[in-house]
Amino acid sequence: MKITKKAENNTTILFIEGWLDTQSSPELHAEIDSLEEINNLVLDFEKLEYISSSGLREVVSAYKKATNAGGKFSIINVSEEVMDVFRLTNFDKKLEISAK
Amino acid sequence: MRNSISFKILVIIALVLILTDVCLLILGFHSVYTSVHNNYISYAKSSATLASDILEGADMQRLLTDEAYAKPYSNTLSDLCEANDLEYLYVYIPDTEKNTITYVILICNDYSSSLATTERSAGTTIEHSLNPAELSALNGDTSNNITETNNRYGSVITYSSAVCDLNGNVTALVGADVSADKTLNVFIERYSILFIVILISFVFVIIIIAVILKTKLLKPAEIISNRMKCYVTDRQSGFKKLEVKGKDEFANMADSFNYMADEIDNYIKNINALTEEKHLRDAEMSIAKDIQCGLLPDNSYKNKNITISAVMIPAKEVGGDFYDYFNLKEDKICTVIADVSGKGISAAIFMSRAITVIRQYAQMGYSPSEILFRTNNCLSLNNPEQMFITAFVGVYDAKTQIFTYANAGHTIPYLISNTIKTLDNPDGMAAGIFENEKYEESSIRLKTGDTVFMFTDGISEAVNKDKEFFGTKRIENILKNYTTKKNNSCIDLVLGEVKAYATGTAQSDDITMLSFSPCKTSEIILKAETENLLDIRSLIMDTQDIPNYLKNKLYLAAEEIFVNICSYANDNNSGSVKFSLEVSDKIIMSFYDDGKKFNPIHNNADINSYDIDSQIGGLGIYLALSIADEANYEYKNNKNILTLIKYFQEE
Repeated sequence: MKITKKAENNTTILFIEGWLDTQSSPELHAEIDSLEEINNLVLDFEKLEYISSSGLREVVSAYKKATNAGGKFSIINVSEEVMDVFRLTNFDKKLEISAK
Repeated sequence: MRNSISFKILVIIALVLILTDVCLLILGFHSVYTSVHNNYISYAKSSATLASDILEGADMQRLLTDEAYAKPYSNTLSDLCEANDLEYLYVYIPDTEKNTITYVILICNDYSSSLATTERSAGTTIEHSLNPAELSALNGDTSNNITETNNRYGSVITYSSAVCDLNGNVTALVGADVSADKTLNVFIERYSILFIVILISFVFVIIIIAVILKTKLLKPAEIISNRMKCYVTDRQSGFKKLEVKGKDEFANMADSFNYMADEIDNYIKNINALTEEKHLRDAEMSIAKDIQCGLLPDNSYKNKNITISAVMIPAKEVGGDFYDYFNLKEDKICTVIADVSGKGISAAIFMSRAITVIRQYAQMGYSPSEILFRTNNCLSLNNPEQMFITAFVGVYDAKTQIFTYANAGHTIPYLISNTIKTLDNPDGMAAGIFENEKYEESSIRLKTGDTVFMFTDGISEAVNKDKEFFGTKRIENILKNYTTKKNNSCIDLVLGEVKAYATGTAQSDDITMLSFSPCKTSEIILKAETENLLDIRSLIMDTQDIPNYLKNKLYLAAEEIFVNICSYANDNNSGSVKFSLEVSDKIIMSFYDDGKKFNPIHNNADINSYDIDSQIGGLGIYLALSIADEANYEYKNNKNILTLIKYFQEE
């Protein structure tokens, strides 16, 4: 998995590539932990191929971090396959998620 | 009693008798009356005539005046009166000019009480116009001289007769009176006797008839009826024959009943014997059925290369159809389906011979066409009954996934892949008839997940109530359904449809099917540590027969289960997990771990109550179970065994 960070205005965008699974989710966890003074947080899943429940948990902690800080949280460019997992877990109804 | 035929007969006879007796009484009334009447008239007539004869030539005037002269006459007439039971006997002189009569002699049967002795003593003259009878007597006529009178002297019948002098001139008239009351009394007396005699004879006849009916009709009928009842209710004690006496209808009936009872006894004996025989035969057939079923392998089989399902339902206890499969050398497996001509025991015997011969040649390593060639020669060599089999023999080589087959006149199997089609047809003659028959051989490469469906004509020729065949079109439609919905064995689907179709009809032919699907099974044994997920991932990703669209999903399910096993089932992370991946017409992932007992299906989270803001965890198992089409858990030999099944289903 590869994470690229980009900050513009009040918004932090994390580009996540590859597989977000049990092995790789700690990396995302560390990345989110390291974010300071965030406002709005966007996860760009354009190149994410796979997400498991451990990845979902990191999505939840990212969401909590952003909303606790008073910012907005969204996930964009979600592929159909990853969207299936969001749908199965009802995340698509709780979070602001947009498809590719 | 009221309903008994004897009573009815008795009533009818009584009615007839009463009618007859009434007629008799009516006739009797007339004849008795006439007889009594005439009798008394004849008394009167003979008395009057005799008195006339006695007085013939007597001097009437002298009789009136000379007592001594009158005395003998008077005495004689008195005797006459008494002898003939007359009421009055009197002699008088009529005076036709003055219309008077003068009594000369008057005799009463009872002087003291008679009014007439005082009022009409001798010499009394009274006014009296002669009545026709007296006139007739006066004229010498004797035929019509009877008068009936009823006055204060009593009710009498009078016969008048004339008394003549020696010259034949009428000097006086004689009247002889008989009492009408006395006549009536005598009539009543006689008629009563007649009535009593008739009444007694009526009662007597009725009693005699009743006794005759009782002994001759009622009793025999009762005896026969009781014996008939006992024949049914008291069979154990045996049947005593009815005595046949005489040659009447009852004797005939008793004879017929004895005959019938004998016949029924014989019949029952025969039936008992037959039933016993049938039980024996059923028991033997049941054994034969067990033996025949024992010849066939199990109706499902599975190894790492192939899954097989089969069914054989004979129309009778034993059948002529069979399926067979057995492993050969080098990962080859032979599958056979066959149908022996005919049904029942003869077909079953021939079938047991055929299945043995085919198995023997297959295990010797011959190719399908060669197996059929040799089987045909073997069967046709000693086949006095000219029986034959149609058979389809195929050998599947798991290494090359090539299925080689030959056909001896059997219905062509279907290949269920993305579409339904029959296998390319290598035709051949049914086996067992002509020696040295050659059989073509064909082959096809099967994909993992393909299914070959073999069946006998018991399926296509199953009939419904209207005698219509099930037909191959229906089979194809069921199999088409199966390609899109592979969550059931195609054999169960077809069997269910055939049974529903043929509801209410007797199964006409053996029903036999065999289906097999090549599969690939890979297994790895891993330590329960999350690092080993990579091995599972590569196994799934590298399996060619799994369509790409399913790979990530399957891995997601596998990852979640594996992580769960690592975290919950194996607290110390030291256990091992066996992961097996089987691909056929579906994908089966199985996890075996020896950690603590944990059933993830029972612990599945309810996603609707999952709260993203507070709750972490539980999502993984939910995801895995949502992806699987079926999930089964069992705890066996201290191992948790979780099986997830995913069907190929285009989304």
